[in-house]
Amino acid sequence: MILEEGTLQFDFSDALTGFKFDEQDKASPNFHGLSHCMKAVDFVVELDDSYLFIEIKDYRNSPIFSDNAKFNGLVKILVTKFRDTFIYRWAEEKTDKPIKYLCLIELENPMISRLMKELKRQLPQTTPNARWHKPVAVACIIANVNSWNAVFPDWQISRIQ
Amino acid sequence: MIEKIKFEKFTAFEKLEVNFSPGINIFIGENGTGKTHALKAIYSACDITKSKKSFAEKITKVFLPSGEQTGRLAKRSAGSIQGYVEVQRRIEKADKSINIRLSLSNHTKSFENATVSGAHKQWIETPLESVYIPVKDMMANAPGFRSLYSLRNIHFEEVYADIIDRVFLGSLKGPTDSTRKKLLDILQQSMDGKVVSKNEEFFLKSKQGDLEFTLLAEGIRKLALLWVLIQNGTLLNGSILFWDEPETNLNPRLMKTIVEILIELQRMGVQIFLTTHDYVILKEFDLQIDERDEIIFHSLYRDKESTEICVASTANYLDISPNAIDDTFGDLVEREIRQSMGDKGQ
Repeated sequence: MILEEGTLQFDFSDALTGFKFDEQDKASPNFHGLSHCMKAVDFVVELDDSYLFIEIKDYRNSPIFSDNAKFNGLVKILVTKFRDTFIYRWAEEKTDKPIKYLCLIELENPMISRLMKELKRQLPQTTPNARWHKPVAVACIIANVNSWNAVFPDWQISRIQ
Repeated sequence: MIEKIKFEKFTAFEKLEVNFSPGINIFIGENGTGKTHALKAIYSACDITKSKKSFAEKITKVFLPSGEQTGRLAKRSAGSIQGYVEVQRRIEKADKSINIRLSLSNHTKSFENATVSGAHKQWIETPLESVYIPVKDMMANAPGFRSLYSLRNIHFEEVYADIIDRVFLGSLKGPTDSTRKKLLDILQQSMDGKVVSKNEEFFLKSKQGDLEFTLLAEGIRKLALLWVLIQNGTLLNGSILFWDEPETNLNPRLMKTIVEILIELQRMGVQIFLTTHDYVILKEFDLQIDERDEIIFHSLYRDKESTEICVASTANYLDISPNAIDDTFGDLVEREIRQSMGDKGQ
């Protein structure tokens, strides 16, 4: 399954299905249609035992994280995109498998580390008092292209011109 | 200003040449890639213009090989080894560059037997103010250290004695110029006081009274050291500052101040050489410099095939490669992802 976003091309070799979730083309069967009121992740990929929500932010050469306000803003965007996508998929009756949230953010490694910690804090996986019976996301990770390709040899990313 | 250093079969280096920025030079690299050796060699060449020691003697005292056998500074390998270290500096007044070279072999018994060549006379005759800040703080241990060291009773690399000497230089006469005053003010605000000395002992003088250095946090001692070096005129236009791992014992919040001061010193005309393992220091430079500033990042690394030390220098933070600091975080990120994702995607 090949998916493209900007100059990045993803190859999900073991995916059952996968599509551009925020599809803006009205003629497409996957047309999102609620962009005026809901945020959306870039791709949804179905594996045999889980769904992947994938969000991509290509911040190459961007000084965006020189201040905390922008940093926290990004975490909020990532959280909102996940939640709205989750609701949309719930209404589609497509939350029958565990969901994993994978954000590809092209930033240097120390920033990734900090961002991943904050995202996990703001997108809670369980409740402190055990009221939840299942997590909304069973995994929540952030990677840049290098670390993605290192940890996911079967889901390689390449740059296309 | 120091323009270049060349090594051949010297300590850890097989063959290496590094060209320097007249402003800030930052060495990064894993342990054992020769960052401190590079700093010490350049510093030795600078110091002899004031101390009037021979280059061979200074390097020997600064590196302190066992038994002060200068030949032990030759790169270790089988057979007879000939090596050298060569430093090039710019003499602005004469509008030319000159070199000094120390040649040695693994059989060189002491510094007297090593050969110094190049424009040695002119090198020594044109003084260059320099200071080397070693990893370990010395100000708290200053009382009595100098006399013990001069009696040769203690085994310490000479950079530790030198830094104490620099600190005890008398303060500049006359009013402090506005740039220096600005730097001193920044430091005084960060450490909430100024430094005074009584009988070789240092104190931080604040509203609460005088606090001896042994009772101060190590990070504050670093700020205090900079304060003294700026106040007493060691760090002025034309001086050279060497600083080995400024991040040691420093609260990350103070790094912003340290980097601010270093950039300002560079704008005043101080040439700076430092080594670091720290992301925050590196990032602070990236965030605080502007187009006025001259900075080069030197990444020392071992070539995968030859395993010898190489250098990749760049003026652009994003182009630092290899980047040992970023790679360390990369490893953490990858392990965290694997922990969350199990064997998915593999």
